[in-house]
Amino acid sequence: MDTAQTVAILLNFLREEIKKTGLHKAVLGLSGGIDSAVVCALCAGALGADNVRALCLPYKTSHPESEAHARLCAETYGVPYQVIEITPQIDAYFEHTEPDAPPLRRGNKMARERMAILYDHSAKLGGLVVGTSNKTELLLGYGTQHGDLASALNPIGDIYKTDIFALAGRLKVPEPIIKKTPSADLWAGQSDEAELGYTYARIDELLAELIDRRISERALKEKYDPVFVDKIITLVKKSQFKRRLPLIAKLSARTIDREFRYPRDWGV
Amino acid sequence: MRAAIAQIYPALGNIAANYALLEREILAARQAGAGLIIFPELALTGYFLKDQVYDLLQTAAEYLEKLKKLSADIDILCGSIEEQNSRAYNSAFYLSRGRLLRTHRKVYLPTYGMFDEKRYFSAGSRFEVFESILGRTALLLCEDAWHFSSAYLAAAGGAENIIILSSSPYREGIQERWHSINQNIAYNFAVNVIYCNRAGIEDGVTFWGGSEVYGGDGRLLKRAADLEAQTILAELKNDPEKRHHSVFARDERVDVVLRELHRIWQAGMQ
Repeated sequence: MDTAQTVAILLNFLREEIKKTGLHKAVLGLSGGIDSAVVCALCAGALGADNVRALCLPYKTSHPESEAHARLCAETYGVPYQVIEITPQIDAYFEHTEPDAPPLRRGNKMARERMAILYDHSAKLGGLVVGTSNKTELLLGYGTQHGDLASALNPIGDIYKTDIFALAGRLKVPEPIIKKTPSADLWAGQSDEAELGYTYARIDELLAELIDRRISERALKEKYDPVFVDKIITLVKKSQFKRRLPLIAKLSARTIDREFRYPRDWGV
Repeated sequence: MRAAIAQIYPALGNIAANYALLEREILAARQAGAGLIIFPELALTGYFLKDQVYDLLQTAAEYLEKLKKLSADIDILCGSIEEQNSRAYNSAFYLSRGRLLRTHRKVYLPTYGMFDEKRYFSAGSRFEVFESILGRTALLLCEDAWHFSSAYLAAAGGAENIIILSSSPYREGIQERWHSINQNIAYNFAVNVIYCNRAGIEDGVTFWGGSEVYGGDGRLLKRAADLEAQTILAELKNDPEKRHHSVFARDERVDVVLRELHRIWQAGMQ
């Protein structure tokens, strides 16, 4: 990846696509991880640090390191930030109505609570919520629908996780954030790669063959472990709904998004 | 002859705003002593119009009339949408002395990947050569240039200049592809190649700029910046002597090509 050119394109993307909506501010959640750090650096570069609001939204079981790294990131780029703990509302919901919910449901609820807060701050500040999901996560569906997968615009959604590291280097993301193990931090000790069962390096190599170079499943199974290929292809297919708008039952001659087709930049 | 290549950032679907931008560029080019100003594909309307193509056909025609009036003492080449017999075209208009001198309708409408042009436009079917202020000239629109036969036909028709109006979206490796296409056309056919791309962004898609001019010997004469809006000036001349030394002008067997294509086509290759 040509990181210099990519950064130039992404800065312009954020500046122009936000400006077209009549706004000039951005809101984002800082997890303490590398993806949101890269997006934070890009937003500060595109809009000026004062036009960016970074929110760190920990739950009581979140690793203390996450908040420390979120703080380090915001301070590195001079972005105003705020810490809002989401424990009270999460606990209130589960204790009163769903005490037996397993960790996955609790994690999804936390991701949606965080996004609800980001959108409230979007309205409060007059800024757009900028997404922090990378291409690997989006393709695998490794995120919560209407949670961390939500946003108004996303500068890194076409960049694989392994390329995010190169971009982070160019944007001078602090070392400890680049070096630590990628984790959603929805529960203690969670690791993306342990959970997915494969390293990002292996997954991204396969995804690039499958998605970008359009190599057939059959050919890929000759080149890679067929179990691995099966698992990744299944994840991509099963998460297709997360990448699409809700289905609309077709009745009229001009259904939204089927025949009624306008660019998002329509009339802006 | 001095030509201005206006690598502009049009507003999507806002013809009035784009007309104002074009007008400013035309005045500046005239002051800079240019005899011709070139704008990108769909400069008057923006590129990813989708259903707005139908909404904007009439307004686009009205503003083309206004644009004609600005061509009294500078020639203007501009991309826009066109309606003819209830069909929409992606067209390039060459305006001179207040009149429409030539229209080129895009022949190759990309309908793959991010492109959906056949959904909205009908295709043109000619690569004509006409006398412009630069000499004998053919016009191509973006994807046209990716079919080598387009430039071949223009050159066979005697073109000394091939002008390519483009709205090329950025994706990895695209700049090198275009530079290579443009340079090859210039060198192979011994023609001036003027490539006018746009800048800006629509729906998350970046247009990468990098407009450029090659002389008939394939030498790069001028290139605009990547990614940003910029107008460049190029001094163009035709060099008949060089052309006589080009293998295409001297030795090309159009009769063989014609017969062989006919044979191949009849054999079922299409």
